[in-house]
Amino acid sequence: MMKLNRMMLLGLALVAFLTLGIGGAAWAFHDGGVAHCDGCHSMHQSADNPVSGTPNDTLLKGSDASSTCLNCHGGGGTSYHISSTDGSARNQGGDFYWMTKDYTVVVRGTPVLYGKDDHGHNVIAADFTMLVDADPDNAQAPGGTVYNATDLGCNSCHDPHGQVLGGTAAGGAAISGSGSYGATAPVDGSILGNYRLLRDTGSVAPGGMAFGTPAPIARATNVSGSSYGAIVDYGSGMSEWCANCHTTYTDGAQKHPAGNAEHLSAGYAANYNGYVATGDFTGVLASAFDGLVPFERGVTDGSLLSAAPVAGADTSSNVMCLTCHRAHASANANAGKWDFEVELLVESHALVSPDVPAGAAVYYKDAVVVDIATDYGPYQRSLCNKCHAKD
Amino acid sequence: MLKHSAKILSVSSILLMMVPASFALAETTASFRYPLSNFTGPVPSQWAKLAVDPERNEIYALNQYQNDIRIFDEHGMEIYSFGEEFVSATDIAIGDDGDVYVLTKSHAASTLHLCDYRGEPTSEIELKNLPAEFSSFRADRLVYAQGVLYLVDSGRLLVAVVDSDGSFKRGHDLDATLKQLTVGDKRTKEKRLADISMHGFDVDKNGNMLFTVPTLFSAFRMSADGELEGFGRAGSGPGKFGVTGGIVADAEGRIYVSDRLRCVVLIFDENFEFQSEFGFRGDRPSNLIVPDDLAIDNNGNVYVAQAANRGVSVFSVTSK
Repeated sequence: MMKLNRMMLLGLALVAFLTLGIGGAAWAFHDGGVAHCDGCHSMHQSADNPVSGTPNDTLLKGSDASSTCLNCHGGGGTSYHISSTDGSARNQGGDFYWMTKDYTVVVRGTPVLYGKDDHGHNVIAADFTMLVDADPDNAQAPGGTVYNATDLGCNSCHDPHGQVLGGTAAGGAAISGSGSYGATAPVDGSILGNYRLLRDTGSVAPGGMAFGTPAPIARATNVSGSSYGAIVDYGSGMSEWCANCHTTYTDGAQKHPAGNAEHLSAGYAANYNGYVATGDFTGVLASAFDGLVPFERGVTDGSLLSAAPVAGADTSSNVMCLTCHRAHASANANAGKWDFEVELLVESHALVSPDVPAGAAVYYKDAVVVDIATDYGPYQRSLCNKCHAKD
Repeated sequence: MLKHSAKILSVSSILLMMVPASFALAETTASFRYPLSNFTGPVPSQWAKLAVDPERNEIYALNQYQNDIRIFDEHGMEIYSFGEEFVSATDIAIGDDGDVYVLTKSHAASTLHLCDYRGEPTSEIELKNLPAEFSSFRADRLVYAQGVLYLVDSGRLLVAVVDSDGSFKRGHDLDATLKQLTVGDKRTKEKRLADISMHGFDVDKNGNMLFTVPTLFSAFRMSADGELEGFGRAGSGPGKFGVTGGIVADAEGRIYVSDRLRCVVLIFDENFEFQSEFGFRGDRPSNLIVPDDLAIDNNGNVYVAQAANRGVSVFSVTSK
């Protein structure tokens, strides 16, 4: 029997009562647009929070933009935390922990290093020991020449001020809510923020690159009590948006097709819907959606997307970058949602490496850890087969 | 609603008056002493978890990134290390007799390990008689105080108090408590409490539980019989909270709260009146970068774990 004296709590909790009434909260801190300024900036830097060494001229509370973000967003599990100490974060974007973690796997008797810099976006967050990627292959965003690794941070993709259509100064209307959770368009003249505060057309990222295509459309749903936007139904525009930096990855020139115009053929859609796992082709359209291999539904209004997507693909659907990759980072090379380099997924390098913590979430969907052997089968092969069915 | 607003405004004004207008009003000051070190220099670590052995006045630092546990003497010099076998250790605590408790976690469960004074695992302590409310309990924080272990599921805001053999003694559902105490309209309540989690946790000399909730910009003290008190206001000025981190109390009842965003450690008296703060962002030895876990030894030294691989800094606190 728990010894919880709740009547006493209610009777004696005046201080807490009032504190919660006036203290404010960080939940929905951004609320679709710009948050309160001193959440990230110190207005009078030297007076109450001096910086020695090299001051940052934007009065940020972190050593750099990403360090400021990670002051709140650092951490594991689910929720709004996206950078754990043990690979345990299970949000859709992935865990930046993997950008700090080298691990080795013995291949034919020889230890092979799986370097941390190959697991996702090498954002620079000095306070969190995440530095500029020294790999010359990653000096610029792969597939393009427009974005330098030396400029890469959270604010390369996310607009910390959440501006839409250039913001108020450029004629943008007031933002009245988040555009991440499927809200319907306001009727009072206000607008919704962009999905995940992603940068909008014309938005200028650190380093000076202006975004040429708008933020994508998607709907995130929180898992009750534990996670922020763990389930996502994707609408449109994700690949085009990624191609702001990875410019050639949607040009179709000897690359896997991805993007709004690359609709699945009837055959590929049938494959997606029938495929459950290696050796199991009993799926049906009504329940074929697999959160580990999501797709875009060709929808341009987030409110038309599902809070609990289960339906499979049709010929309006298309593959996108996030069908196969995590946006932030993953346990697998190339930020893969699964290990692209093994035949059987139970042999994924991050699953067999002794260097990977037991609490790490190598595979997960909808904020829940996936046990490949149990949930798919011990002989599950690459999830490319969800569309291609070659296993 | 108007009545509530009036009360809140009134108390806000009082609290504002309680915050010292300047640093000079504080009578409590902190001085940087040294970083925890070994013979090669300061020992780097990233957000180490700290525990003090009060009998020997030694400090233990669990570096989660490296899966190592280092023991430092009262002069801040490393004297021993262990822990390679604890791949996913999340916290550490020291018993009265020098026993070392290490908490590890996986997706499915947390495991409490008992080690001898050399850090050799001797047994796993099974939690017994957990009530139904704790069916999904998965601890990630650990404190030893007054002969019992406090196991904390920070995501669910559950605290299980168990004997050293793992037998359940009592529990606290702090999530339910906070939700009961929150006022406001539906949207306000949803924004405040939909996704809260605990960060810092400790137990003071009187058995009061101290904890922080970063998304509420607040710290709390809860007595063993359930009385809850909270304090803190959001802001970037002295005495205000950005992102609250670790929390600990000293022998005199002073409460220390680290602020990860403001990069300071704030000191409050036992009545929650702000006394002073120290650290501040920067690269001087006395500065702090994203301070987190805190600990205090018998000599009043305050240990502060930091990010940026800056290890653990030690400060002495004096009051006039």
